[in-house]
Amino acid sequence: MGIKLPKETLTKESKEASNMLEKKNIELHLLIDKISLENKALIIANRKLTFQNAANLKQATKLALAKKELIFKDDLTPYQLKMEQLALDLTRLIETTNAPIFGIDDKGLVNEWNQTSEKITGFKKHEVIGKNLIQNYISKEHQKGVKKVLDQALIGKETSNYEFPIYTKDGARNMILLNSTTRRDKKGNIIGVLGVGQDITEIDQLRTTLEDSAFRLKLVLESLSEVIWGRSLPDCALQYVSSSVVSLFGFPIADWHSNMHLWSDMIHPDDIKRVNKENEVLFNSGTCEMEFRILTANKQIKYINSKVLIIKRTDGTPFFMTGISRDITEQKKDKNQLKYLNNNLVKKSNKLQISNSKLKEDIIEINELRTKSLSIAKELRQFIETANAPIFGIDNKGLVNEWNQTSEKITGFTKDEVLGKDLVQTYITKGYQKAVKKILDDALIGQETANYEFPLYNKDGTRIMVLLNSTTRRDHKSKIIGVLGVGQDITELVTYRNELELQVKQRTINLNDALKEQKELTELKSQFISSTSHEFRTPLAAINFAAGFLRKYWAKMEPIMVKQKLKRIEVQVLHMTKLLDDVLTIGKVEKTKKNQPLNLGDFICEIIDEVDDSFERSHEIVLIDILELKNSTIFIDKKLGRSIFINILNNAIKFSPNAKKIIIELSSEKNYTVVSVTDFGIGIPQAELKNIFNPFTRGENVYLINGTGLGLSIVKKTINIIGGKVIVNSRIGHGTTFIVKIPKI
Amino acid sequence: MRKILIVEDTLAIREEVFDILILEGYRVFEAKDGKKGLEIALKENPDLIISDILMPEMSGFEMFEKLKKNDKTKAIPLIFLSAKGEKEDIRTGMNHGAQDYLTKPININDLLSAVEKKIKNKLIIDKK
Repeated sequence: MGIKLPKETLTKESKEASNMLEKKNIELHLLIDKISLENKALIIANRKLTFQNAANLKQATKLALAKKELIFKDDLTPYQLKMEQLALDLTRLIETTNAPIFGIDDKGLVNEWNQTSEKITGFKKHEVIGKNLIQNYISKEHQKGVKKVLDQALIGKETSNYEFPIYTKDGARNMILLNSTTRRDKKGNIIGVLGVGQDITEIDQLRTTLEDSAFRLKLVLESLSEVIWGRSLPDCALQYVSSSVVSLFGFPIADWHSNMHLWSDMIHPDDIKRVNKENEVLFNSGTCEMEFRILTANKQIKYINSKVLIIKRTDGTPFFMTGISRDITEQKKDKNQLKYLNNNLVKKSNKLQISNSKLKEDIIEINELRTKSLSIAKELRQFIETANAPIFGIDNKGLVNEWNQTSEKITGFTKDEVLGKDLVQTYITKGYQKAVKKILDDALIGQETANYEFPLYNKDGTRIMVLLNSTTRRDHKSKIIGVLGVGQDITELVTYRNELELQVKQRTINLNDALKEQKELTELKSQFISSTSHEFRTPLAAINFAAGFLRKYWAKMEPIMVKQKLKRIEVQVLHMTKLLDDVLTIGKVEKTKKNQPLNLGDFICEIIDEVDDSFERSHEIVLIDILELKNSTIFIDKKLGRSIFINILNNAIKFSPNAKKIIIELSSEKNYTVVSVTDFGIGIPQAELKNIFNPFTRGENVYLINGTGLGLSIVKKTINIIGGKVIVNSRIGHGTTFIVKIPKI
Repeated sequence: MRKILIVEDTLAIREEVFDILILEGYRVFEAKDGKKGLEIALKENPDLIISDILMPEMSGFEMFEKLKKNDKTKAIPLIFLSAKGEKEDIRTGMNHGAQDYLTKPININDLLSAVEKKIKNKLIIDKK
């Protein structure tokens, strides 16, 4: 837009100039028309006069000839009469003719002065006759010229249309157009001059005015920077060209007048064809306007705008052409610059259009994306609204701006109630306000929190546990605009979890117990293995010594001594075998448990018989069964059961070498069937009671009694496996009671 | 005649060692635990003590410490004869100042050569 403005301005300026020129041109043409019309009138008038003059002269000549004939024919009176009549007519004609006619003799003195002369000059005939015409009636500056015309006529050379001014009696200046005619006598001698004039004062005045106008017009034309020119037709001769032609084309005015073809020579070769074509058109249309380039005198290219007008006569024949040419180089330059700028603009505009179309495409894409994101947003919104988890949002002031259906359901507060309220202050229990606020504040600075638990109270005052995940909410420019909290109602979960935790705690205790037991067991085992190896080394050492003794001292030895050594080896081997059996028993104990229903009486009696046999009935074994439990059924793995009671009964007999009685008593508790075995033997020292169930532990008072130290260890282990209990009561020197409790189910 | 004290809780071992040493011409004393061993050592002042380690009433180590504290018995050489045969056990025994540490089961010649060596050493020391 900014560039278009000067173009308009320029065009406006040039238009104005052109308009003015056209106006002036038209004025000029009008003036020229007027001048030529008046000229025409003048010429016509002149011709008429000349014609009339000629007619008069012919008449006069005829008269003169007739006179001559008359003179020749002196005696011919009728001719004479006719002549006299003719002379009279002529004189009257001269007197009354509309043109001023005067005559002078050969001395320049007036001898004719007709009425029109009187009328025009104001001088009467009688005043003028006999006076010197030139000296008295012609203005000084024209006296010479007029005298010459008259003198010429006096020697026979006639002059036509000589113009000179004459002053009337009252001093007015009259312009006279004079035709002089030589006056001769009948013999042909020059006797004077007859002047036939014409008063052209008005015409002259008109002409003066015209000249004045032309002059002024010329001034105007010369002041114009445009070149105004005129050529007559059909010769195309340059009649006028304004002086600005020099500055415009560089050639002096004289060149223009001398060289008719200067104009067409100057036109740029590239444009000449076009100009010629235009010129052809010009003669048909009468006017044309064209633009072309010229080469100036110093070979500079200029752009010219030229308007040409053909002026035609009333009959249509062209007789004059006039034109105005102006330099439009600057405008062209401007135009070119404008064009260049315009081109640039167009280029830019094209580029803009391209980027515009790209933009349009982008916009379409963006719109598509927008539509997509809108639909996604809609979906998300729907998702949030209907999500099964409570979702709420707060703005950066902590005021609620989201509250989905599940939030409503869980808390009992409707969206309308909650929106715009301070979430923490209004809905979080006092004790958690600080912590929840911190989580939300953190989220407001971009730090999100996962799985924070806190209690809420719903509208009815029920406590709800909520698991909260806070998410920072950002606008499309990533600016934080609030927090979105996604919760989970974990009230049930918490209850369940608490129960679970209790269970886990309980189980952990159990597990720890089991682990402790296991650890103890492992320790026991390694200790047991170490002990076992130790226990085996001792009889091995004894065997080794005995065998070595036999080999070393064989020759010195009495047979009885050899026998004794061999017996000792056998005893040690037996001991080792027993030890081995016990160790294997302990190993087996851990593996098997097959409960089966057994009759308690049968089970116990079988064991009693067996042990009693092995000790060759050294003791009286008494069974006490007050509650008649003999026929009751116990559920026990038979092998394990036997292992328990054989060991206990064995010990009872073994460690009561000086007593003769063993008592077995059956009783019952709520959950257990109880079997107690009492001996009256050496008893167990108080300090060792706690160790008696550990493997390879033997009381210090059992020094002389054989044993592996594994029996009670086997008993304890087996009782643990069947889920029973064992209690030991003992007084050293008085005896021991083992109470075994077998679970009823 | 050289005197040797056997301190051993296991009767079978005690009897075997006793039989061997008697046949080799030593005068042999028996103790069934450390407490008894200490008593006999003080009373008899033997030239060598062969002692088990794990015994009721008083262990071999305890007895040995007590013997070393007593001027009368501190010079008596002692050989441990134990079923505990691991390296740590042996080092512990030697650290107590024992002349030797024999692990069960040991053959009769090894036992005798150890005994004879210690007795010889004892004789040399006594002569000085």
